[in-house]
Amino acid sequence: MNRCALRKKIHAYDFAILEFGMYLDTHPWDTRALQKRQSLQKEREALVGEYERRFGPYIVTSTQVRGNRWSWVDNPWPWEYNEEECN
Amino acid sequence: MWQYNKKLQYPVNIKNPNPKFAKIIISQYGGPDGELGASMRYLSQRYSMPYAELKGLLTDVATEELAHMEMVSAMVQQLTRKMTPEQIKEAGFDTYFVDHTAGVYPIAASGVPWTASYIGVKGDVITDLHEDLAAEQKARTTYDNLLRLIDDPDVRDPLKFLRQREIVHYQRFGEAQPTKWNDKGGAADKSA
Repeated sequence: MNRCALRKKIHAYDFAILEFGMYLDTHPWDTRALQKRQSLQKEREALVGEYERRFGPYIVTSTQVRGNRWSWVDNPWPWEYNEEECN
Repeated sequence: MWQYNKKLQYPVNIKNPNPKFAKIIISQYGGPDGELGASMRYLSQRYSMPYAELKGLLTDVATEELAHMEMVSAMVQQLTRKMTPEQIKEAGFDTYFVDHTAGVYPIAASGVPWTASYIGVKGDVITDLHEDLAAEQKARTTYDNLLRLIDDPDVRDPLKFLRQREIVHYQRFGEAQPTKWNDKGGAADKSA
């Protein structure tokens, strides 16, 4: 999977996990929802691990650094127009 | 505290700059029912909430609103790329441009800068939740209005996503009725 496709996949997981989190805020006793969220979290961790090994930090506190450069600062930044349509 | 995820919550890729659209979309950044106000409202209300579940909900919704604020700003930035003086004047964007150039400033479409007067923090759980329900509907209506006025599919797509999220937030606040919570989770004033 290329960088773009991997990011898109992680973003989908991010969204699903966020949605479950918000639901659980008002339904903290819902163990089924909790378990579903945790299994999504596990799948997401694997993808983020792969992303960071190959491309560098996904989040600013990431422990993964690729090569000798703090690639966190590199372009593109998320708000910029990207013909590739990859965020 | 917060960490930054280097991404937009939902993609914004606008092929065709259009300062006319930017003029009205900017209201969802710095306007009365925009995302900046939403975030500040929920972040501020959570401190006086007596129930753990509500502190969690307000924190999490507020954080998502920051991500929406970022998406709206991205839209404004992409719509105001590479403007010629003619385009600026023709779009009526000159009155904004003179003070901000192509910077993205928290302001309403009317030209009024963002103000805390746009938000309510009453310190009463019932009052604040009702404010939040209304806020989500006002934001949803604003997105309805933007969709009435904008025909570019690149612009409509993220607007439709943001509109949907307002409806989901409204439902979450609707579920947050104080009578079902216990206050064992927090150090709140029990007389609240």
